[in-house]
Amino acid sequence: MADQTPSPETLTQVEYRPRAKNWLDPHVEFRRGTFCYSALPKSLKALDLPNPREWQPFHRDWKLPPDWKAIILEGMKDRLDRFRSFRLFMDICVRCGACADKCHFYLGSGDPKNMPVVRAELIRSVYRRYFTTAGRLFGEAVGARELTEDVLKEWFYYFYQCTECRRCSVFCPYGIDTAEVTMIGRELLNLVGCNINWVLEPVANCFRTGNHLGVQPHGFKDSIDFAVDELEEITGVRIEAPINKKGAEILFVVPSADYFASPHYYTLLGYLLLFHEIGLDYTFSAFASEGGNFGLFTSHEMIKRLNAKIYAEAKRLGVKWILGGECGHMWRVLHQYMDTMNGPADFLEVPVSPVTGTRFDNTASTRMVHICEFTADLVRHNRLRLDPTRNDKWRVTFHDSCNPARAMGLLEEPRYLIRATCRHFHEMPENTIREQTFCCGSGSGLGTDENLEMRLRGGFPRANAVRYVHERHGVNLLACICAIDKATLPPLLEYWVPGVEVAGIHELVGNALIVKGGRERTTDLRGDPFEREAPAAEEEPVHA
Amino acid sequence: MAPTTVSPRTCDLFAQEWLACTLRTYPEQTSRFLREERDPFRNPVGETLRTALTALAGELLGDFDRPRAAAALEDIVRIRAVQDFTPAEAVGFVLLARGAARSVAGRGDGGARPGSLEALDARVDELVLVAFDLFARCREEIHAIGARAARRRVYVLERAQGLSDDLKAAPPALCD
Repeated sequence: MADQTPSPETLTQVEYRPRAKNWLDPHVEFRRGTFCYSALPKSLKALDLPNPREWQPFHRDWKLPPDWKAIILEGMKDRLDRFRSFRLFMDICVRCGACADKCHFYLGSGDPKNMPVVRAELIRSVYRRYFTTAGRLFGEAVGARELTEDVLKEWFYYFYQCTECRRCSVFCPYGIDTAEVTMIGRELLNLVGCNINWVLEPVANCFRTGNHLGVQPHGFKDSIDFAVDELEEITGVRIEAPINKKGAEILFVVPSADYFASPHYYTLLGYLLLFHEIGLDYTFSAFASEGGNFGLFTSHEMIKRLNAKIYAEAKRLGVKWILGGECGHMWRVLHQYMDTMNGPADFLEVPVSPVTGTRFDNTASTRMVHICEFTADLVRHNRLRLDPTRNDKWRVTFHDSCNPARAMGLLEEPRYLIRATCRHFHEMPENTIREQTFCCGSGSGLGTDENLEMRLRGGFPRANAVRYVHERHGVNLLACICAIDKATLPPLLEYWVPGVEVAGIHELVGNALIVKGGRERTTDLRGDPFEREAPAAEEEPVHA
Repeated sequence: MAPTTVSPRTCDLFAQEWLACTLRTYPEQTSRFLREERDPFRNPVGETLRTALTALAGELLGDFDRPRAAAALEDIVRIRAVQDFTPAEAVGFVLLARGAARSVAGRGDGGARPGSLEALDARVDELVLVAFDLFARCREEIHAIGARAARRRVYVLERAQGLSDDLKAAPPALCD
C-alpha cells in the first residue's frame, strides 16, 4: 500500500480560501461560544410547553417528537392564516439586498446567513416548498427546500442569532420586519421543544413570581430597602419606597435587573431620589416586579400571559396610571402589544403628571408613560434643581436602545435629559444612532455567557462607533435606557473599548439632582467623589 | 525590498495585495462587501482590516517599530479571535504577507533585491508569533469578562452581604 503521509511540501500548501457553500445547504456547526444552551425541562414543564427533555444543540440527536415535521408545518399553516404580516413577509421580498449589510451580526461575523434577507430565506424556502405551487413543482430551482432535521437545526442556530432589533426593517423598501420572521421562527421551534434556557427560565420565573430572576416578594422588598438605606448614606435623606400600596396614584414598573444588577442599580437609586424630591404618590408591585417580557422571544401567547400581570396589578392596587422604567424590549411589548392583548385599560385614566399637569395623550391607549418622557417633562417645566457639574467626570455618549428608538420613537427625551444633567455630551456617528442605532448584540434573550463569542461579534459595530467617540472626544460613559444593554454593554466594551463605562439616564439625573434637606453631597450614586471641573458653589444650577 | 528603498507605491501595492488575500479568508459574498464598502461604521471589519494592514505593511517594509506593529496587529486579531475561525486561521492572515510580497515583487522589472524577501519573511515570522500571543490573550480576556459579567448580575446581593466589590478593576491592557 502506498504511503499516505503527506510530504512537507504538501503540508505547507494551506488553502486559506473557505470552500464555496450553497446557501441551500443547511448544515451548521455548533461551536461552543456561538450558541445558547437548551432550556431545562423544568422550565418547559412549568409553562406547559411541549417536549420537555434533556438535550443540547451540539448533540446529534435532538430528541424531537416523532411527528415533528407535521407539527412544524401545521404550525406554519396556522400562523400563515392568523398573521397577515407573516404571509406578506413570506411572499413580497424581492431580494433587493437593501437589508443585506444592515445586520450587526452580519457586519461582525461575516456569515452570509446573517444577512436579514438570507435569514428570512431559511424559513421562506420551506414556505415555498410546502405552501406554493411553484415550490412544490420545481423545488430547489425556485429556492424551495425540504424541511429536514438539518434545516430545523439551522433555524435554531440563526433565529437564536437574531436579536430582533429591527435595524434591517428600517431599510426595507417593502417594510418587511425580519424580527417578526424571527419571532415566528422561534414560535415554530417552540412547538417541538427547541428553545434556549436564557429565555425560558426567565419566562418560567416570571410566570411564577412576576419577575425574571424568580425573586419573591420578600426578596424584592429586601432589595428596595437596601437601596433606600444606601440612598440615605449618600444623601442624608431618608426616603420612602412604597410596595403594593393600594390607592397610590401611579404604579411604577421596572425591569428586575434594576434592583439586582450593576450598573442598573444606580438607575434605581436615581428613580427613588427623583420620586422623593417631587413627592410622587406611587407604588411598586411585588408581583408586577418585572417590566421585561421574555415572552416576546418565545411566542405571542407567552407575551400575553406575562404582560397580563401589569394591568392586573394596576387594577388590584387601584392606581390611576402606570409609569415604566428604563427597559428596552419591555417598551416594545407595552407600546405595540399590551393594549391589543390585554386591553382596553379603560379602568385607568389617561396619564397626567401630578407635578406639571402635562397630559400624556400619546399614551391614551396603554395608559403607561416612559420614565424619560415623564422626567423630561419635569425638566422642561423647571421643576427640578439640577447641578450638571456633578457629572463632570463623565464624557457621555448615548446608545439608542433598539426598542425605545425603533419601536416607540423615543429619541429626543433621553438626549434632553443628558444635556440637562451633563456638560459633556458627544453623539456617535449619524448612521449608528437614532433609528439606525446598532444593537448591543445581546438582545432577545441572547445575552448569556455561553454565547459570549457570538455577542462580541454582533456587538462590534456598536462598539466600533463607541471607540470612535472615545478616541476623538475622550468619551468614558455610554448612557442607555435598556436593562439588557446595561447588562451586556459592559462586557462588550471591556473587550472592544476598555475605559468606557455604562450607565442609565436616571443615574445621571440622580447624580445631578439637588434634593431638599439632607446634607451636602460629595459623592455620586456609585459612591465615587464628584470630580467637578469648576467650583460649583457659586454656580447657579442650569435648571433651577 | 530593503526597508529603506521601498517606494510608497510598492508599499501600497503590497498592502492592497495582503488585504485582498486576507479578505479571501471570508465567504465570497462577504469578502466583496468587506472590500467595497468604505464607510468605517457601515463596514467596521473591512475598514479595520484595511487600515491595520496598511499600517502593518508600512512597518514590515519600513522601520518595523514593534509596539506600533503590535497595536495594528491587535486591531485585527481582536476581531478574528471572535469570528468563525480556528486559532490557526485567526492568526494565519499574517503569513499571507509572504505570498503578497512575492506577488508584488514579481510584478517589478527586476524583481526583489537578493535577500530582501528573506528579510521580510523574518519580520513576518516575528509578527505571527506576536499575533499568536495576542490571540491567546484575547481568548483569556473573554473568559475573564464572562466571569465579571456573571458577578454584575448579582451585584446587589453581593453588596447586601458585604462581599468585596472589585468589579471596577479594569481589564489588563493587551499591548504595553
